[in-house]
Amino acid sequence: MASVKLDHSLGSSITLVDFDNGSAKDMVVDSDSIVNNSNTKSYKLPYEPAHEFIFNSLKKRIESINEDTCAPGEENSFFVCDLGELEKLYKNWKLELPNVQPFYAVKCNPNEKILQTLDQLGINFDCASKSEIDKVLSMNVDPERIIYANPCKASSFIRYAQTKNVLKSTFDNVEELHKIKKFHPNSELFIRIATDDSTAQCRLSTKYGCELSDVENLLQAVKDLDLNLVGVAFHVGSGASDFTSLYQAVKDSRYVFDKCIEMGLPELKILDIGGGFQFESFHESSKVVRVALEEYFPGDKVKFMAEPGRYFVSTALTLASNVIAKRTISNNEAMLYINDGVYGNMNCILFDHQEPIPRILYHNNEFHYYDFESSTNMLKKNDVSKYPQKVSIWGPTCDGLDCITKEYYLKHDLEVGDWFYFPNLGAYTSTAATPFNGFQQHSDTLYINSLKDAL
Amino acid sequence: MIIIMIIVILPFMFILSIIIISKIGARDTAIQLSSNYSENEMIEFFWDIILLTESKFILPFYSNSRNFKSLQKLIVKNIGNLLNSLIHERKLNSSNLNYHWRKLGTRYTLVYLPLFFKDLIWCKSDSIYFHVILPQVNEIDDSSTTQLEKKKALTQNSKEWLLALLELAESLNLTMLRLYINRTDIDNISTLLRNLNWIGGKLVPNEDRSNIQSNDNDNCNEFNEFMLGDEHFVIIEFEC
Repeated sequence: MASVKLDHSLGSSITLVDFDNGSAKDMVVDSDSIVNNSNTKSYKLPYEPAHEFIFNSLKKRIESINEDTCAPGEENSFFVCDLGELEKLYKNWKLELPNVQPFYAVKCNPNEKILQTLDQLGINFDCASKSEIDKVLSMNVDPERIIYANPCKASSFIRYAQTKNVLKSTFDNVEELHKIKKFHPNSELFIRIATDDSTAQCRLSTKYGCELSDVENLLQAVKDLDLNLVGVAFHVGSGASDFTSLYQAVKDSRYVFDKCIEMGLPELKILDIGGGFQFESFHESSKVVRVALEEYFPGDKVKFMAEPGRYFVSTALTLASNVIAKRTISNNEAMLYINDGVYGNMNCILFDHQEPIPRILYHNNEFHYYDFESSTNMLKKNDVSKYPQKVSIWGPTCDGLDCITKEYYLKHDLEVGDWFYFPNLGAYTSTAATPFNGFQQHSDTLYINSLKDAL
Repeated sequence: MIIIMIIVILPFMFILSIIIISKIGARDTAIQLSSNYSENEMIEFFWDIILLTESKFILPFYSNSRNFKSLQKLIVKNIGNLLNSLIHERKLNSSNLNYHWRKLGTRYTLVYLPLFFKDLIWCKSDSIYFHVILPQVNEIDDSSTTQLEKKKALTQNSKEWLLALLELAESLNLTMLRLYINRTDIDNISTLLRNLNWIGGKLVPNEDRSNIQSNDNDNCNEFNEFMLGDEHFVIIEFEC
């Protein structure tokens, strides 16, 4: 087990102490670079994706499609999934938050291979529905490794968790406690507190979590109903830009831990710091978490867990999609229709505030993968000649909601049959087959492993 | 929280009940129908519930009184077919039933959640799905204050009304809840949509209209199934 030593300021370096082998082995972790230790290579966050492997995979697939003879479905959009990326990110997690056990939020991407890989890495699971629980249990995962963190649980959900022996779950109101008492009294409960999520892209606390002023009443209800409260949970929302909310939430959690002792309830054992961690800002956000945990939960009595989703999968998947129709508005302006959209693999646009970045992959019989500036959404004055084509990009349905971007600027004038790729599109994208307006939006996923393939 | 619910169960069992969602869940209390109304009046009332529920799927372009009358004929005829198939254990012959909302309900439910929605919620269900057509918030005939209040209720209290509907669906032994939200209200339910994955919901695509076939072989009805559609709704689905 590893623990963290650091001073109480948001300093630029921390010391990780690894107790795995019985003796302390110090690794200095600078804020600006994650160093390599003797056994494993780590990657500075944020780092570049494994472009070579991703491109080769995209290229091979597209070259295998013969436009004249291809079978229906061969030109469908497809993902390239780098399973090695999951491993890299887990290594970074262990470096940054070594004493926080991640419970991967299955809802973020329930792809089976991803789940299996995460399972093999030792990551636990956060499930939000019955089907997610079933999926995880079907991999022979011990129910002990699942938390049922759906903040909107009907009685039937609680009964279901009971039948599957999933004990860990969250609550934020008295009504839910009564349901739990009736249907699943042996639950290991986490009281979910509200946090300041005003800077988050996806705000959750406005709807989920109890205010600190209500905590005492809830704890009294736990006591009266003789339920098994084991911890505190919070979630600062996805895409938070101000990490002081994390610090404040840990501080608020301490208040609940202390309140339990004051009210004569058994001492709490676990703090669930929720999710919302992002690849780009993980280094900064985890630093705040470490400082807060050290300050408010020093020592090793309390166990820590988290519910990361997008951190693990966002950068692991790249989507490729084919231009299936074009409506020219003027010489330099067009509406492009591609064979994927919000009803397929890009429902993250509607439901997760994401703005997928379309980059030109294939045009005029050439691949443009490595031209990372093949498109832009911000046209500067000097860029007009660089990006002469103004486009809006639409999904294959006739639905006005099925819009990928209303305005983008491209270097090339794409035609039907050309391809886009969308990097970092692994979080909250659906891989389900959903026939809509005649389009079977089923997508293949091509798996690569940039760690193993590189050897 | 009080849900007043009127249920019409085919074939012609009528129940008027009040569901009280209390601290310990749902309690279903059946009450007697008012004796002020004759049986015929009550039957007419329940037919109206069926008709008004089904009429929610008339495409806006066809929504006029003439078509409404024609829809009535079609519904009566289809209910006759449904009852025949139930009684004689025959399979219904229709190619459009892949879209669950096109199936006639075996139970029609009128839900009133006065804390959250000023208007009635029209619902129908078969043995699996609980179809819930949420009232439209963006109606023209309302004062701006009421509009604001309604929008607030829809977005800020979505957990409460969603849980109430999930509990209701579960108490009716249904496994899936489908919410039909008018597209004109899409901005108002953005919070719900953005938390959809989080609370275990998913977006259901609208039907493929190119695959619809008219089942009205005898052409006796001016109204046909092309005039019904779900494209003015965003449909989201939850496990119950």
